[in-house]
Amino acid sequence: MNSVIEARGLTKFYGGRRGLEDLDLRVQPGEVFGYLGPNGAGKTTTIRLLLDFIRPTRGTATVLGAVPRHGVDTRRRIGYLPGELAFEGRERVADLLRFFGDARGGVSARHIAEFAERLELDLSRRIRGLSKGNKQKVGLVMAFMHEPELLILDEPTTGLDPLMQQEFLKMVREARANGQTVFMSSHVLAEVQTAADRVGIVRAGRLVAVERVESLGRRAVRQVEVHFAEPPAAADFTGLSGVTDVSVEGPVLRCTVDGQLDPLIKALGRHTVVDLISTEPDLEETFLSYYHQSEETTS
Amino acid sequence: MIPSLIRKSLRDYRRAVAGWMIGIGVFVTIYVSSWSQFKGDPEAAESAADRIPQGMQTALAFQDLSSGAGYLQAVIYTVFVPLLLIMAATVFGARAIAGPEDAGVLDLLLANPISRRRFVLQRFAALTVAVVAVGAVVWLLVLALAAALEMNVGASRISAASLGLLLVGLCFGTLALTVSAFVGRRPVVLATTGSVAVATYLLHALGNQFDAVRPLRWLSPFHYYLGADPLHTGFHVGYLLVLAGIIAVLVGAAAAAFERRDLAV
Repeated sequence: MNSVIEARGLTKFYGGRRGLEDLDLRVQPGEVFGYLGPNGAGKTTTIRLLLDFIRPTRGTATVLGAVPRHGVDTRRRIGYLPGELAFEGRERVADLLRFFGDARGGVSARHIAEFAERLELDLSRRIRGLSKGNKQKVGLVMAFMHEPELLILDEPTTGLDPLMQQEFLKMVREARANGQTVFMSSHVLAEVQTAADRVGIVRAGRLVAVERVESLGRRAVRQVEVHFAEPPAAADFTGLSGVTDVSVEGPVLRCTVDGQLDPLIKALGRHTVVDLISTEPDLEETFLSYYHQSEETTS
Repeated sequence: MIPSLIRKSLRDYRRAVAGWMIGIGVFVTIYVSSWSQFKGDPEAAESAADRIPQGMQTALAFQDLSSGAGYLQAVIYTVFVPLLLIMAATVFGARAIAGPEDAGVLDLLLANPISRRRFVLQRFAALTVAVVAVGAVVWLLVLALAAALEMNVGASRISAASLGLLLVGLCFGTLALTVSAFVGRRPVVLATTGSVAVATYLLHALGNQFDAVRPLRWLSPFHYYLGADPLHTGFHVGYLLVLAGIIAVLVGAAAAAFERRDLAV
Protein backbone atom coordinates (compact mmCIF):
# COMPACT_ATOMS: atom_id res chain seq x y z
CA MET A 1 0.00 0.00 0.00
CA ASN A 2 1.30 3.43 -0.87
CA SER A 3 2.04 5.86 1.92
CA VAL A 4 -0.24 8.85 2.26
CA ILE A 5 2.69 11.01 3.27
CA GLU A 6 6.22 10.14 2.40
CA ALA A 7 9.26 12.30 3.06
CA ARG A 8 12.82 11.47 2.07
CA GLY A 9 15.65 13.61 3.31
CA LEU A 10 13.21 16.52 3.48
CA THR A 11 15.18 19.58 4.53
CA LYS A 12 14.38 23.26 4.92
CA PHE A 13 16.81 25.99 5.87
CA TYR A 14 15.66 29.57 6.33
CA GLY A 15 18.81 31.37 5.32
CA GLY A 16 21.31 29.74 7.63
CA ARG A 17 18.76 28.71 10.22
CA ARG A 18 17.68 25.11 10.28
CA GLY A 19 13.94 24.60 10.06
CA LEU A 20 13.97 20.90 9.36
CA GLU A 21 16.75 18.53 8.39
CA ASP A 22 16.70 15.14 6.72
CA LEU A 23 13.18 14.12 7.59
CA ASP A 24 12.41 10.54 6.59
CA LEU A 25 8.83 9.65 7.30
CA ARG A 26 6.02 7.49 6.03
CA VAL A 27 2.44 7.87 7.14
CA GLN A 28 0.23 4.94 6.16
CA PRO A 29 -3.37 5.14 4.96
CA GLY A 30 -5.89 5.16 7.76
CA GLU A 31 -3.49 5.86 10.58
CA VAL A 32 -3.47 8.75 12.99
CA PHE A 33 0.05 10.08 13.22
CA GLY A 34 0.95 12.41 16.05
CA TYR A 35 3.79 14.78 15.34
CA LEU A 36 5.12 15.84 18.66
CA GLY A 37 7.67 18.41 19.63
CA PRO A 38 8.26 21.63 21.53
CA ASN A 39 7.52 24.96 19.84
CA GLY A 40 10.06 25.80 17.17
CA ALA A 41 11.09 22.19 16.66
CA GLY A 42 10.07 22.10 13.00
CA LYS A 43 6.51 20.81 13.15
CA THR A 44 4.95 23.72 11.30
CA THR A 45 7.84 23.77 8.84
CA THR A 46 7.11 20.14 7.99
CA ILE A 47 3.42 20.83 7.50
CA ARG A 48 4.06 23.90 5.35
CA LEU A 49 6.41 21.86 3.18
CA LEU A 50 3.76 19.17 2.74
CA LEU A 51 1.25 21.79 1.58
CA ASP A 52 3.67 23.62 -0.75
CA PHE A 53 3.60 26.89 1.17
CA ILE A 54 7.37 26.66 1.31
CA ARG A 55 9.79 24.74 -0.89
CA PRO A 56 12.35 22.28 0.43
CA THR A 57 16.04 23.18 0.43
CA ARG A 58 16.63 19.56 -0.52
CA GLY A 59 14.92 16.21 -0.27
CA THR A 60 11.51 15.21 -1.51
CA ALA A 61 8.02 14.65 -0.23
CA THR A 62 4.90 13.15 -1.69
CA VAL A 63 1.42 13.69 -0.31
CA LEU A 64 -1.38 11.45 -1.61
CA GLY A 65 1.02 10.35 -4.33
CA ALA A 66 1.87 13.83 -5.61
CA VAL A 67 4.82 16.12 -5.05
CA PRO A 68 3.31 19.13 -3.18
CA ARG A 69 4.48 21.56 -5.85
CA HIS A 70 2.42 19.75 -8.47
CA GLY A 71 -0.29 18.64 -6.12
CA VAL A 72 -2.88 21.35 -6.67
CA ASP A 73 -5.63 18.83 -7.32
CA THR A 74 -4.69 16.61 -4.40
CA ARG A 75 -5.34 19.54 -2.06
CA ARG A 76 -9.03 18.98 -2.69
CA ARG A 77 -8.54 15.72 -0.76
CA ILE A 78 -6.71 17.36 2.13
CA GLY A 79 -8.19 19.13 5.11
CA TYR A 80 -5.81 21.60 6.68
CA LEU A 81 -5.89 23.43 9.97
CA PRO A 82 -3.10 25.98 10.39
CA GLY A 83 -1.28 26.36 13.67
CA GLU A 84 -1.75 30.10 13.83
CA LEU A 85 -5.29 30.45 12.67
CA ALA A 86 -6.24 33.93 11.52
CA PHE A 87 -9.10 35.29 9.48
CA GLU A 88 -9.57 38.64 7.84
CA GLY A 89 -12.73 40.32 6.79
CA ARG A 90 -16.14 40.91 8.21
CA GLU A 91 -18.05 38.10 6.57
CA ARG A 92 -20.24 35.65 8.41
CA VAL A 93 -18.93 32.24 9.38
CA ALA A 94 -21.42 30.57 7.04
CA ASP A 95 -20.21 32.63 4.04
CA LEU A 96 -16.58 31.88 4.77
CA LEU A 97 -17.26 28.16 5.10
CA ARG A 98 -19.29 28.17 1.91
CA PHE A 99 -16.36 29.77 0.09
CA PHE A 100 -13.97 27.09 1.33
CA GLY A 101 -16.50 24.39 0.48
CA ASP A 102 -16.96 25.73 -3.05
CA ALA A 103 -13.21 26.01 -3.55
CA ARG A 104 -12.97 22.27 -2.90
CA GLY A 105 -15.77 21.34 -5.23
CA GLY A 106 -18.80 21.96 -3.05
CA VAL A 107 -19.84 20.94 0.44
CA SER A 108 -23.51 20.82 1.33
CA ALA A 109 -24.80 23.40 3.78
CA ARG A 110 -26.34 20.58 5.82
CA HIS A 111 -22.94 18.99 6.21
CA ILE A 112 -21.41 22.24 7.39
CA ALA A 113 -24.27 22.75 9.82
CA GLU A 114 -23.73 19.27 11.29
CA PHE A 115 -20.09 19.92 12.11
CA ALA A 116 -20.88 23.39 13.41
CA GLU A 117 -23.52 21.93 15.72
CA ARG A 118 -21.13 19.31 17.08
CA LEU A 119 -18.64 22.01 17.97
CA GLU A 120 -21.34 24.43 19.13
CA LEU A 121 -20.34 27.01 16.56
CA ASP A 122 -22.81 29.73 15.59
CA LEU A 123 -22.71 30.07 11.80
CA SER A 124 -24.49 33.42 11.73
CA ARG A 125 -21.76 35.22 13.71
CA ARG A 126 -19.25 37.46 12.01
CA ILE A 127 -15.70 36.13 11.87
CA ARG A 128 -14.16 39.31 13.21
CA GLY A 129 -15.92 39.15 16.57
CA LEU A 130 -15.13 35.53 17.34
CA SER A 131 -13.05 34.43 20.32
CA LYS A 132 -9.89 32.42 19.79
CA GLY A 133 -11.68 29.20 20.67
CA ASN A 134 -14.52 29.91 18.26
CA LYS A 135 -12.08 30.72 15.47
CA GLN A 136 -10.40 27.40 16.14
CA LYS A 137 -13.79 25.72 15.71
CA VAL A 138 -14.24 27.45 12.36
CA GLY A 139 -10.82 26.10 11.38
CA LEU A 140 -11.78 22.60 12.45
CA VAL A 141 -15.05 22.65 10.51
CA MET A 142 -13.08 23.91 7.53
CA ALA A 143 -10.64 21.00 7.79
CA PHE A 144 -13.22 18.26 8.36
CA MET A 145 -16.26 19.37 6.37
CA HIS A 146 -15.35 17.90 2.99
CA GLU A 147 -14.36 14.56 4.56
CA PRO A 148 -10.88 14.64 3.08
CA GLU A 149 -8.71 11.55 2.69
CA LEU A 150 -5.96 13.28 4.64
CA LEU A 151 -6.28 15.69 7.54
CA ILE A 152 -3.24 17.81 8.32
CA LEU A 153 -3.83 19.53 11.63
CA ASP A 154 -1.30 21.87 13.23
CA GLU A 155 -1.87 22.11 16.99
CA PRO A 156 -5.58 21.38 16.57
CA THR A 157 -6.71 21.80 20.16
CA THR A 158 -5.24 25.27 20.72
CA GLY A 159 -7.81 27.46 22.39
CA LEU A 160 -10.46 24.75 22.78
CA ASP A 161 -11.96 24.14 26.19
CA PRO A 162 -11.64 20.57 27.58
CA LEU A 163 -15.13 19.58 26.48
CA MET A 164 -14.45 20.64 22.91
CA GLN A 165 -11.07 18.93 23.02
CA GLN A 166 -12.94 15.71 23.79
CA GLU A 167 -15.31 16.36 20.91
CA PHE A 168 -12.34 16.99 18.65
CA LEU A 169 -10.68 13.72 19.68
CA LYS A 170 -13.95 11.98 18.92
CA MET A 171 -13.95 13.54 15.46
CA VAL A 172 -10.43 12.22 14.92
CA ARG A 173 -11.45 8.72 15.97
CA GLU A 174 -14.44 8.85 13.64
CA ALA A 175 -12.21 10.03 10.82
CA ARG A 176 -9.94 7.06 11.38
CA ALA A 177 -12.90 4.68 11.49
CA ASN A 178 -13.95 6.30 8.23
CA GLY A 179 -10.62 5.36 6.65
CA GLN A 180 -9.25 8.91 6.69
CA THR A 181 -5.60 9.53 7.54
CA VAL A 182 -4.72 12.11 10.16
CA PHE A 183 -1.40 13.89 10.60
CA MET A 184 -1.58 16.11 13.65
CA SER A 185 1.09 18.10 15.40
CA SER A 186 1.07 18.89 19.06
CA HIS A 187 3.27 19.81 21.95
CA VAL A 188 0.98 18.04 24.39
CA LEU A 189 1.84 14.39 24.82
CA ALA A 190 -1.43 13.41 26.47
CA GLU A 191 -3.49 14.70 23.55
CA VAL A 192 -1.48 12.78 21.00
CA GLN A 193 -1.42 9.69 23.17
CA THR A 194 -5.18 9.36 23.26
CA ALA A 195 -5.69 10.01 19.56
CA ALA A 196 -2.70 8.66 17.67
CA ASP A 197 -1.54 5.27 16.51
CA ARG A 198 2.04 6.34 16.07
CA VAL A 199 3.99 9.31 17.30
CA GLY A 200 6.97 11.01 15.74
CA ILE A 201 9.06 13.16 18.02
CA VAL A 202 10.77 16.12 16.45
CA ARG A 203 13.34 18.23 18.17
CA ALA A 204 15.51 21.06 16.90
CA GLY A 205 14.58 20.31 13.31
CA ARG A 206 15.19 16.59 13.42
CA LEU A 207 12.90 13.62 13.80
CA VAL A 208 14.44 11.83 16.75
CA ALA A 209 12.03 8.94 17.19
CA VAL A 210 8.97 7.31 15.72
CA GLU A 211 7.15 5.03 18.10
CA ARG A 212 3.85 3.27 18.40
CA VAL A 213 1.88 5.05 21.09
CA GLU A 214 1.80 2.06 23.43
CA SER A 215 5.57 1.89 23.64
CA LEU A 216 5.79 5.64 24.18
CA GLY A 217 3.54 5.34 27.19
CA ARG A 218 5.77 2.65 28.64
CA ARG A 219 8.78 4.85 28.24
CA ALA A 220 7.18 7.90 29.77
CA VAL A 221 9.40 9.65 32.26
CA ARG A 222 7.79 10.55 35.58
CA GLN A 223 8.93 12.49 38.59
CA VAL A 224 7.94 10.55 41.70
CA GLU A 225 7.86 11.86 45.24
CA VAL A 226 7.15 9.48 48.12
CA HIS A 227 6.51 10.49 51.75
CA PHE A 228 7.24 7.80 54.34
CA ALA A 229 6.33 7.39 57.98
CA GLU A 230 10.02 6.75 58.81
CA PRO A 231 13.06 8.09 56.94
CA PRO A 232 14.17 5.28 54.61
CA ALA A 233 17.66 4.42 53.44
CA ALA A 234 18.48 5.75 50.00
CA ALA A 235 20.28 2.50 49.26
CA ASP A 236 16.92 0.72 49.18
CA PHE A 237 16.06 2.55 45.96
CA THR A 238 19.31 3.09 44.14
CA GLY A 239 20.02 0.52 41.52
CA LEU A 240 16.35 -0.23 40.80
CA SER A 241 15.71 -0.66 37.10
CA GLY A 242 14.57 2.61 35.50
CA VAL A 243 14.91 4.64 38.69
CA THR A 244 17.41 7.48 38.67
CA ASP A 245 18.17 10.79 40.43
CA VAL A 246 17.36 9.24 43.78
CA SER A 247 17.49 11.67 46.69
CA VAL A 248 16.28 11.15 50.22
CA GLU A 249 15.66 14.09 52.54
CA GLY A 250 14.26 12.99 55.87
CA PRO A 251 11.11 11.02 55.20
CA VAL A 252 10.83 12.18 51.57
CA LEU A 253 12.16 10.30 48.56
CA ARG A 254 12.41 11.98 45.18
CA CYS A 255 13.38 10.17 42.03
CA THR A 256 12.89 9.98 38.29
CA VAL A 257 11.28 6.89 36.85
CA ASP A 258 11.87 6.08 33.23
CA GLY A 259 9.43 3.51 31.90
CA GLN A 260 7.65 1.08 34.19
CA LEU A 261 6.80 1.94 37.75
CA ASP A 262 6.65 -1.63 38.97
CA PRO A 263 10.21 -2.04 40.37
CA LEU A 264 9.79 1.09 42.48
CA ILE A 265 6.35 0.09 43.75
CA LYS A 266 7.70 -3.32 44.79
CA ALA A 267 10.54 -1.62 46.67
CA LEU A 268 8.10 0.74 48.39
CA GLY A 269 6.15 -2.21 49.73
CA ARG A 270 8.72 -2.76 52.49
CA HIS A 271 8.00 0.68 53.97
CA THR A 272 5.02 2.55 55.34
CA VAL A 273 4.00 5.03 52.65
CA VAL A 274 2.14 8.18 53.72
CA ASP A 275 1.82 9.87 50.37
CA LEU A 276 2.82 9.25 46.78
CA ILE A 277 2.93 11.97 44.15
CA SER A 278 3.62 11.09 40.55
CA THR A 279 3.66 13.95 38.10
CA GLU A 280 2.27 13.47 34.59
CA PRO A 281 4.80 12.06 32.22
CA ASP A 282 6.76 15.13 31.25
CA LEU A 283 7.02 15.74 27.56
CA GLU A 284 10.35 17.48 27.72
CA GLU A 285 11.82 14.68 29.83
CA THR A 286 10.45 12.08 27.49
CA PHE A 287 11.99 13.98 24.61
CA LEU A 288 15.27 14.18 26.41
CA SER A 289 15.32 10.48 27.06
CA TYR A 290 14.75 9.85 23.35
CA TYR A 291 17.19 12.52 22.47
CA HIS A 292 19.95 11.07 24.62
CA GLN A 293 19.13 7.64 23.35
CA SER A 294 19.45 8.75 19.74
CA GLU A 295 22.67 10.63 20.54
CA GLU A 296 24.08 7.47 22.08
CA THR A 297 23.15 5.32 19.13
CA THR A 298 24.62 7.77 16.63
CA SER A 299 27.87 8.34 18.50
CA MET B 1 -19.57 30.91 -13.33
CA ILE B 2 -17.26 33.26 -11.50
CA PRO B 3 -14.50 31.38 -9.65
CA SER B 4 -15.15 31.37 -5.92
CA LEU B 5 -11.95 33.23 -5.06
CA ILE B 6 -12.93 36.19 -7.24
CA ARG B 7 -16.33 36.28 -5.59
CA LYS B 8 -14.81 36.11 -2.15
CA SER B 9 -12.26 38.81 -2.97
CA LEU B 10 -14.98 41.13 -4.21
CA ARG B 11 -17.05 40.44 -1.12
CA ASP B 12 -14.01 41.37 0.97
CA TYR B 13 -13.32 44.50 -1.09
CA ARG B 14 -16.96 45.57 -1.24
CA ARG B 15 -16.92 48.21 1.48
CA ALA B 16 -13.61 49.70 0.43
CA VAL B 17 -14.76 49.88 -3.19
CA ALA B 18 -17.96 51.63 -2.16
CA GLY B 19 -15.95 54.07 -0.04
CA TRP B 20 -13.60 54.97 -2.89
CA MET B 21 -16.52 55.30 -5.31
CA ILE B 22 -18.25 57.76 -3.02
CA GLY B 23 -15.08 59.69 -2.24
CA ILE B 24 -13.98 60.08 -5.83
CA GLY B 25 -17.59 60.77 -6.89
CA VAL B 26 -17.92 63.62 -4.42
CA PHE B 27 -14.58 65.07 -5.48
CA VAL B 28 -15.44 64.92 -9.19
CA THR B 29 -18.90 66.39 -8.66
CA ILE B 30 -17.68 69.34 -6.61
CA TYR B 31 -14.77 70.19 -8.86
CA VAL B 32 -16.49 69.74 -12.20
CA SER B 33 -19.47 71.79 -10.97
CA SER B 34 -17.12 74.66 -10.07
CA TRP B 35 -16.48 75.14 -13.74
CA SER B 36 -19.46 77.46 -13.99
CA GLN B 37 -17.25 80.14 -12.33
CA PHE B 38 -14.88 80.09 -15.28
CA LYS B 39 -17.29 79.32 -18.04
CA GLY B 40 -16.96 81.98 -20.73
CA ASP B 41 -14.84 84.12 -18.41
CA PRO B 42 -11.21 83.82 -19.51
CA GLU B 43 -10.13 86.52 -17.07
CA ALA B 44 -11.35 84.67 -14.02
CA ALA B 45 -9.75 81.54 -15.40
CA GLU B 46 -6.47 83.31 -15.96
CA SER B 47 -6.35 84.88 -12.55
CA ALA B 48 -7.04 81.47 -10.99
CA ALA B 49 -4.29 79.93 -13.05
CA ASP B 50 -1.90 82.75 -12.18
CA ARG B 51 -2.03 81.77 -8.55
CA ILE B 52 0.27 78.90 -9.36
CA PRO B 53 3.78 79.46 -10.71
CA GLN B 54 4.33 79.41 -14.44
CA GLY B 55 6.41 76.25 -14.43
CA MET B 56 3.78 74.40 -12.45
CA GLN B 57 1.12 75.58 -14.87
CA THR B 58 2.83 73.81 -17.71
CA ALA B 59 3.65 70.76 -15.70
CA LEU B 60 0.14 70.41 -14.32
CA ALA B 61 -1.63 71.52 -17.49
CA PHE B 62 -3.26 74.53 -15.83
CA GLN B 63 -3.31 76.58 -18.97
CA ASP B 64 -6.77 76.94 -20.26
CA LEU B 65 -9.36 76.85 -17.53
CA SER B 66 -12.00 78.70 -19.50
CA SER B 67 -12.55 75.91 -22.00
CA GLY B 68 -14.34 72.78 -20.88
CA ALA B 69 -11.60 70.46 -22.10
CA GLY B 70 -8.86 72.59 -20.55
CA TYR B 71 -10.68 72.74 -17.25
CA LEU B 72 -11.34 69.02 -17.08
CA GLN B 73 -7.76 68.30 -18.00
CA ALA B 74 -6.33 70.62 -15.35
CA VAL B 75 -8.72 69.98 -12.51
CA ILE B 76 -9.81 66.37 -12.97
CA TYR B 77 -7.56 64.33 -15.22
CA THR B 78 -4.05 65.57 -14.54
CA VAL B 79 -3.47 65.55 -10.80
CA PHE B 80 -6.06 64.82 -8.20
CA VAL B 81 -8.25 62.16 -9.72
CA PRO B 82 -5.32 60.09 -11.03
CA LEU B 83 -3.77 60.45 -7.59
CA LEU B 84 -6.93 59.17 -5.89
CA LEU B 85 -7.47 56.36 -8.36
CA ILE B 86 -3.86 55.24 -8.14
CA MET B 87 -4.07 55.26 -4.36
CA ALA B 88 -7.22 53.15 -4.47
CA ALA B 89 -5.72 50.74 -6.99
CA THR B 90 -2.49 50.43 -5.00
CA VAL B 91 -4.40 49.61 -1.84
CA PHE B 92 -6.39 46.91 -3.65
CA GLY B 93 -3.24 45.62 -5.33
CA ALA B 94 -1.53 45.31 -1.97
CA ARG B 95 -4.54 43.44 -0.63
CA ALA B 96 -4.22 40.82 -3.35
CA ILE B 97 -1.31 38.96 -1.79
CA ALA B 98 0.50 41.03 0.82
CA GLY B 99 -2.72 41.77 2.74
CA PRO B 100 -3.65 38.16 3.52
CA GLU B 101 0.01 37.25 3.90
CA ASP B 102 0.55 39.91 6.58
CA ALA B 103 -2.69 38.87 8.24
CA GLY B 104 -1.56 35.23 8.25
CA VAL B 105 -4.48 33.95 6.17
CA LEU B 106 -2.67 33.28 2.91
CA ASP B 107 -1.82 29.69 3.93
CA LEU B 108 -5.48 28.96 4.41
CA LEU B 109 -6.41 30.37 1.00
CA LEU B 110 -3.67 28.44 -0.76
CA ALA B 111 -4.49 25.18 1.01
CA ASN B 112 -7.41 25.11 -1.42
CA PRO B 113 -6.96 23.37 -4.74
CA ILE B 114 -5.83 26.51 -6.51
CA SER B 115 -2.42 26.93 -8.12
CA ARG B 116 -0.30 29.93 -7.31
CA ARG B 117 -0.71 31.16 -10.88
CA ARG B 118 -4.47 30.89 -10.76
CA PHE B 119 -4.46 32.64 -7.42
CA VAL B 120 -2.57 35.59 -8.90
CA LEU B 121 -4.86 35.72 -11.94
CA GLN B 122 -8.04 35.61 -9.89
CA ARG B 123 -6.77 38.25 -7.48
CA PHE B 124 -5.86 40.36 -10.51
CA ALA B 125 -9.37 39.88 -11.88
CA ALA B 126 -10.87 41.06 -8.58
CA LEU B 127 -8.48 44.03 -8.54
CA THR B 128 -9.56 44.92 -12.07
CA VAL B 129 -13.23 44.83 -11.15
CA ALA B 130 -12.57 47.07 -8.14
CA VAL B 131 -10.56 49.63 -10.14
CA VAL B 132 -13.09 49.60 -12.99
CA ALA B 133 -15.89 50.27 -10.52
CA VAL B 134 -14.08 53.30 -9.10
CA GLY B 135 -12.90 54.50 -12.53
CA ALA B 136 -16.39 54.17 -14.01
CA VAL B 137 -17.66 56.67 -11.44
CA VAL B 138 -15.29 59.28 -12.85
CA TRP B 139 -16.25 58.48 -16.43
CA LEU B 140 -20.01 58.53 -15.88
CA LEU B 141 -20.04 61.60 -13.63
CA VAL B 142 -17.85 63.64 -15.96
CA LEU B 143 -19.99 62.59 -18.92
CA ALA B 144 -23.17 63.62 -17.12
CA LEU B 145 -21.81 66.85 -15.64
CA ALA B 146 -20.10 67.93 -18.86
CA ALA B 147 -23.38 67.52 -20.69
CA ALA B 148 -25.38 69.29 -17.99
CA LEU B 149 -22.96 72.22 -17.73
CA GLU B 150 -22.51 72.41 -21.49
CA MET B 151 -18.77 72.09 -21.27
CA ASN B 152 -18.58 71.40 -24.95
CA VAL B 153 -16.34 68.32 -24.66
CA GLY B 154 -17.35 65.32 -26.76
CA ALA B 155 -18.35 62.10 -25.05
CA SER B 156 -15.71 60.17 -26.94
CA ARG B 157 -12.96 62.49 -25.67
CA ILE B 158 -14.14 62.15 -22.11
CA SER B 159 -14.30 58.40 -22.64
CA ALA B 160 -10.79 58.37 -24.08
CA ALA B 161 -9.38 60.30 -21.12
CA SER B 162 -11.36 58.17 -18.65
CA LEU B 163 -10.17 54.92 -20.19
CA GLY B 164 -6.59 56.14 -20.06
CA LEU B 165 -7.11 57.13 -16.44
CA LEU B 166 -8.52 53.70 -15.65
CA LEU B 167 -5.59 51.96 -17.31
CA VAL B 168 -3.04 54.10 -15.50
CA GLY B 169 -4.78 53.31 -12.22
CA LEU B 170 -4.83 49.62 -13.02
CA CYS B 171 -1.17 49.82 -14.03
CA PHE B 172 -0.16 50.89 -10.55
CA GLY B 173 -2.62 48.55 -8.89
CA THR B 174 -1.05 45.72 -10.82
CA LEU B 175 2.41 46.98 -9.92
CA ALA B 176 1.39 46.70 -6.26
CA LEU B 177 0.16 43.16 -6.86
CA THR B 178 3.40 42.30 -8.63
CA VAL B 179 5.59 43.72 -5.88
CA SER B 180 3.58 41.73 -3.36
CA ALA B 181 4.12 38.61 -5.45
CA PHE B 182 7.84 39.10 -4.82
CA VAL B 183 7.71 40.44 -1.26
CA GLY B 184 4.53 39.82 0.67
CA ARG B 185 4.81 42.75 3.04
CA ARG B 186 2.30 45.58 2.80
CA PRO B 187 4.59 48.45 3.82
CA VAL B 188 7.15 47.39 1.20
CA VAL B 189 4.44 47.11 -1.44
CA LEU B 190 2.93 50.52 -0.69
CA ALA B 191 6.28 52.28 -0.46
CA THR B 192 7.60 50.76 -3.69
CA THR B 193 4.46 51.42 -5.69
CA GLY B 194 4.13 54.94 -4.33
CA SER B 195 7.75 55.76 -5.18
CA VAL B 196 7.42 54.44 -8.71
CA ALA B 197 4.19 56.41 -9.21
CA VAL B 198 5.76 59.65 -8.02
CA ALA B 199 8.95 59.13 -10.01
CA THR B 200 7.17 58.30 -13.26
CA TYR B 201 4.74 61.17 -12.76
CA LEU B 202 7.63 63.59 -12.37
CA LEU B 203 9.25 62.11 -15.44
CA HIS B 204 6.09 62.85 -17.39
CA ALA B 205 5.58 66.36 -15.95
CA LEU B 206 9.20 67.42 -16.33
CA GLY B 207 9.42 65.81 -19.74
CA ASN B 208 6.76 68.24 -20.91
CA GLN B 209 8.83 71.13 -19.70
CA PHE B 210 12.49 70.41 -20.10
CA ASP B 211 14.04 69.20 -23.30
CA ALA B 212 16.71 67.34 -21.40
CA VAL B 213 14.11 65.08 -19.78
CA ARG B 214 11.93 64.90 -22.84
CA PRO B 215 13.18 61.61 -24.32
CA LEU B 216 12.73 59.88 -20.97
CA ARG B 217 9.02 60.54 -20.74
CA TRP B 218 8.50 57.44 -22.90
CA LEU B 219 9.36 55.48 -19.79
CA SER B 220 6.44 56.91 -17.85
CA PRO B 221 2.98 55.27 -17.94
CA PHE B 222 1.53 58.77 -17.56
CA HIS B 223 2.85 59.66 -20.98
CA TYR B 224 0.58 57.03 -22.54
CA TYR B 225 -2.34 58.43 -20.63
CA LEU B 226 -1.93 62.21 -21.02
CA GLY B 227 0.85 62.55 -23.57
CA ALA B 228 -1.49 62.55 -26.56
CA ASP B 229 -3.90 65.01 -24.92
CA PRO B 230 -7.02 62.81 -25.10
CA LEU B 231 -9.42 65.57 -23.99
CA HIS B 232 -8.58 67.51 -27.12
CA THR B 233 -7.74 64.73 -29.52
CA GLY B 234 -9.74 61.67 -28.40
CA PHE B 235 -8.67 58.03 -28.52
CA HIS B 236 -5.10 56.99 -29.22
CA VAL B 237 -5.37 53.24 -29.40
CA GLY B 238 -1.61 52.71 -29.60
CA TYR B 239 -1.02 54.53 -26.31
CA LEU B 240 -3.83 52.68 -24.57
CA LEU B 241 -2.41 49.40 -25.83
CA VAL B 242 0.97 50.29 -24.33
CA LEU B 243 -0.74 50.70 -20.94
CA ALA B 244 -2.55 47.40 -21.40
CA GLY B 245 0.77 45.81 -22.35
CA ILE B 246 2.47 47.11 -19.20
CA ILE B 247 -0.34 45.59 -17.16
CA ALA B 248 -0.03 42.25 -18.95
CA VAL B 249 3.74 42.11 -18.40
CA LEU B 250 3.29 42.93 -14.71
CA VAL B 251 0.68 40.20 -14.26
CA GLY B 252 2.98 37.70 -15.99
CA ALA B 253 5.86 38.68 -13.74
CA ALA B 254 3.63 38.43 -10.68
CA ALA B 255 2.48 34.91 -11.57
CA ALA B 256 6.05 33.77 -12.25
CA ALA B 257 7.43 35.29 -9.05
CA PHE B 258 4.65 34.05 -6.80
CA GLU B 259 4.98 30.56 -8.25
CA ARG B 260 8.58 30.40 -7.05
CA ARG B 261 8.68 31.88 -3.62
CA ASP B 262 8.01 30.67 -0.08
CA LEU B 263 5.03 32.13 1.70
CA ALA B 264 5.79 34.05 4.86
CA VAL B 265 4.25 32.81 8.07
